Amino acid sequence: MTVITGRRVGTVRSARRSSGAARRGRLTGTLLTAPAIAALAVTILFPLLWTVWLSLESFGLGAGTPVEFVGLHNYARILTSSSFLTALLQTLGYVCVTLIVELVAGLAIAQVLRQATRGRKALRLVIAIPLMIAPVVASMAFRFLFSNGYGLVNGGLALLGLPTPSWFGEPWLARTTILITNLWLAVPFVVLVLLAGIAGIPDELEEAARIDGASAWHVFFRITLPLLKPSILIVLVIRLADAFRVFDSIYVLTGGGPANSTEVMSSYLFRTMFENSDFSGGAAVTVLFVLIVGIIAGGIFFALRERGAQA
Amino acid sequence: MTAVASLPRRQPRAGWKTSRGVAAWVLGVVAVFLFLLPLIWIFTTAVKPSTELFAIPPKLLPSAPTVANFAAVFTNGDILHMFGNSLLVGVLATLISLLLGLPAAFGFARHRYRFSGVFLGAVLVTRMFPPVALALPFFLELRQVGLLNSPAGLVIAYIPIVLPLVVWMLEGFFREFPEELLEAARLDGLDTIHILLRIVLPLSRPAVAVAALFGFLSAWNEFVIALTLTSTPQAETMPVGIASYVTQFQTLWGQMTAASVLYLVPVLIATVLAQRHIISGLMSGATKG
Repeated sequence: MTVITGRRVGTVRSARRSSGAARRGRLTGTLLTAPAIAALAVTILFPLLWTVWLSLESFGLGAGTPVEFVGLHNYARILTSSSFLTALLQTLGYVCVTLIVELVAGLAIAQVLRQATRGRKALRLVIAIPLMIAPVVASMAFRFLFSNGYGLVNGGLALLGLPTPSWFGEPWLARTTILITNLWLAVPFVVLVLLAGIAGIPDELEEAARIDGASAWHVFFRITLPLLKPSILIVLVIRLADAFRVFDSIYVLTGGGPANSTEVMSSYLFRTMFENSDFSGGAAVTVLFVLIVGIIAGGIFFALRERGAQA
Repeated sequence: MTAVASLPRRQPRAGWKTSRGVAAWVLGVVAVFLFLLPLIWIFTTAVKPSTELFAIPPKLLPSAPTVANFAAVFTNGDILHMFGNSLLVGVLATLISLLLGLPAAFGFARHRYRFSGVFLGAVLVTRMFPPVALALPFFLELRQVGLLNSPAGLVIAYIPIVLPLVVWMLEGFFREFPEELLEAARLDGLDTIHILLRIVLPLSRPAVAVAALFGFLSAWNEFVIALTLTSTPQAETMPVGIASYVTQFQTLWGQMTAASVLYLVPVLIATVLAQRHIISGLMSGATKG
């Protein structure tokens, strides 16, 4: 962070050296960046504004009624529907649980892996695999593993003499399969970022504490963890955004079921639009979704910036 | 474990010879096996004969490996469309994003202007954006212009995913580019376009390759937008096709895993090739649904 700001200051200073060159530089910058900005305005900003407009109208494929302006009616309709509130609460619950478990598991695994003396590179490569492959395929694999009868998970449980539940038939078990699948997909990212952060901590610090007689727990909580704060914040921001948009694994594993118990914002939005053909309602959900993610992401961004300014 | 950790780096650590080293090694192998089990399961299921797919208790390895699942996938023929679509859409979205994103990243990094910081921030904020939010507007707009079920429609819809990623990765790289080289080129009378093409680009090939790889992967692995914008086997991409092998109406696990193997192998090769850049790539914004 500090490096970045330092460099920015450097560029600004060198640009101020001569005002003519600076002006030319600014014009060049505008010309270089304009096409990309225009492309994103057309593909993100315009669709989004159009969605806002759509959310204020009555519009559905099935309905034969003419399209008309209905104000905030769609928002009132969505915000009072219990299935939207269920999806919203379940999303928030999922985001909280998955972030906490990912961080704890990621920290634990990173602490163990940093001690690996052999095959460090090979291990890092193996860990990176879930990050590169499509969530759809991973979710398919987990659907097979958790399935009734021919699934490997229940096969293993039966071998140990344990009960073999119907994983997708019961709300909390279905949620567990979603959580496990997403942990498999995301914990490797947390581990790799934390390992990179740990590599940046000078050995002498932890060494000195140990020589002073600090216990392993003490060293971890008083030295390692505080020094990992920047890495943890990066993980939090990125994983928060990912967790909010979780869709693929839910679509593949449970389809939101049983009885909507694994419905989240993305899957609810998808169903509103493409199963119920409720386009105006879907538009209102889209706007609410973007607002919620925006507010939470913005809050974290400013919290991060304040911390960065303090450091 | 604490004892091992507290040994200074230079001293030889407990290795193969101690029982502790062997235990750690065995534990590690078991952990890696369990960790990779979902993938291993896909690869072994793909070569299982249909009689062993649903064996109870389940078997990890087939007693008689077969290519029947692959044969079935190819006889159906849709897989070639899907693979082609995924490849075409990924390559085109990446090329367009590089064409627009390379100069933009260079401009943001080296030619700041009044609102460039705001614009760059706006580009990067799209990292937080849920792609499913674009599903509805793209669906309705592309339907209007007849671009549903077409690779062109998907390419357009993937620009907001791939382009910000490319800009973010390259902006960070260009910021580190040595100023002396640019200054020297400017003194030689080169204009910005030629500096970009003759000086910057040749020296940035690895960074551009990594940005291209991650841009491509974010399109290759994308699901919800492809699911929304395509509905025929001729137009679907690989993730959509793979998901449709196993639904509430059919459970073609054999074909699903065979298709998955074909879909995963290029990615696994890319993972090995790009292993050193994976963290930086993912931190700059490859999306995960």
